[in-house]
Amino acid sequence: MGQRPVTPPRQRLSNVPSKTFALFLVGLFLTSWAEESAAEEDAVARGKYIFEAAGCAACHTDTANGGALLAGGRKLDTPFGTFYSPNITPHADHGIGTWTDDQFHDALRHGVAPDGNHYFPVFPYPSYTGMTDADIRDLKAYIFTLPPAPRPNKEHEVSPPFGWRFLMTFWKWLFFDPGPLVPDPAIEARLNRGAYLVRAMGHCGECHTPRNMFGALDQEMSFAGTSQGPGGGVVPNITPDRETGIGSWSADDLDTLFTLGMTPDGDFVGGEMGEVVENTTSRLTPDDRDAMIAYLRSLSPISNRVGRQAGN
Amino acid sequence: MHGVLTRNLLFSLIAFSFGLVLLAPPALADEAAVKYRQTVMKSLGGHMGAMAAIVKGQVSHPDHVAAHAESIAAIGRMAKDLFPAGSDVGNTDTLPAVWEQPEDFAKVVAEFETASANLVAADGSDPAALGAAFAAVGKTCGGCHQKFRQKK
Repeated sequence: MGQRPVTPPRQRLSNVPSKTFALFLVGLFLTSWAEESAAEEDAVARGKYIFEAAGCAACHTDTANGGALLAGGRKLDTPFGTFYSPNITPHADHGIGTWTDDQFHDALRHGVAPDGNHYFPVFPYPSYTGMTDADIRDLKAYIFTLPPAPRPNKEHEVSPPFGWRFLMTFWKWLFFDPGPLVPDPAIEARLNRGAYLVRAMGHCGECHTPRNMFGALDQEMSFAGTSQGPGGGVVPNITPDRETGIGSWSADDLDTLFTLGMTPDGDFVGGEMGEVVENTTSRLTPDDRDAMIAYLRSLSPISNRVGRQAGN
Repeated sequence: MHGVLTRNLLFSLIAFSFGLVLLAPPALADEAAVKYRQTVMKSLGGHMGAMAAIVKGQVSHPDHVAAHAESIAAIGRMAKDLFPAGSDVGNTDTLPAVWEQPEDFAKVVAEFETASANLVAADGSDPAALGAAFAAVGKTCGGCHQKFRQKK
């Protein structure tokens, strides 16, 4: 074996490190780019789940009239007037396409629009305020991957004084406690997760808790149902009271409701709860569903009979 | 003068009584139609609830599957007859949309009929197939209630 000619040492010395360095830089760039896009993908995937758990689609989509996803315009009749949900697609002019992460955060956490105006509590920020920063960030990441829709927003039809937004400052001072839901160290992790799903993301109380004359949730009566729910409908008592609530339901009965939409008497829920089952509860992981069920069953029973006689 | 007045009064009374007699039967018939609908729906709920217990494996009654499925399908064929015009009286949760949007309503009723017929056709010995067919029927129940029944 003869010796092969070798390149002069000087050249090798100067070349190898610079090539290595260049490769290192490219590698560094590729790695960070890949990490960034993977992280972004994770955020979007997590955000999709949060989007379903938080039930954004139902109110922000005018399904009955064939409206585009999140393009708003769904009518909501309340004792205070008629509200039309806004377009929250990432459309730059008609949606929230120009919103920063901070603006999106302020809307959910504080009920404040980018222009500084207060939202009416028809937007359930008194519940969403309990969400974590991370979940709010991921939710926005997902919504911004959805198709923008050019539908302009429609003004609410709310009579004075409820239509005066500046009064919301006082309303918030009286009735609104912003900030993420703090886990209770005294109860197990599953119940804390359930509380987070029911109270913050799932905003169940927004329909199942009666409101006072100012439209704020009556916390003393949390989840005890109301005969004056959205659209004038009857919303059942979901505390574990045996007579007037769901105290006679087993955990499995609740799971059947949340997956199939069927109540223990073989009836199938329609209306808003039908949408909740379809868009939210049936899409949760079994663990999260169990957590919700455990939390609901852990509530203090409240005796409150709502509604009319049943019929078809 | 008095005679004319008395005669007019008498005539009005008689006409009024006739009116009552003429009006009463249809109103009663409508209420009966509502009551009939509610009774049939309740029996449907009974079979659906029983089927759910089987599908979820809470009870083991493989021999009952066909009977429940056939009952559900039988009601599936009746459903279109349960909402005659005028049966929107009294204690009903049926929304006016049933009669205002007859084509949309006919569509969801047909979906129920098809899904319940598929439940009969499903292989009762295959839990997955039976569960899927059952869930498909439930979806048509919920879908119709969503649009055509007052929420409760």
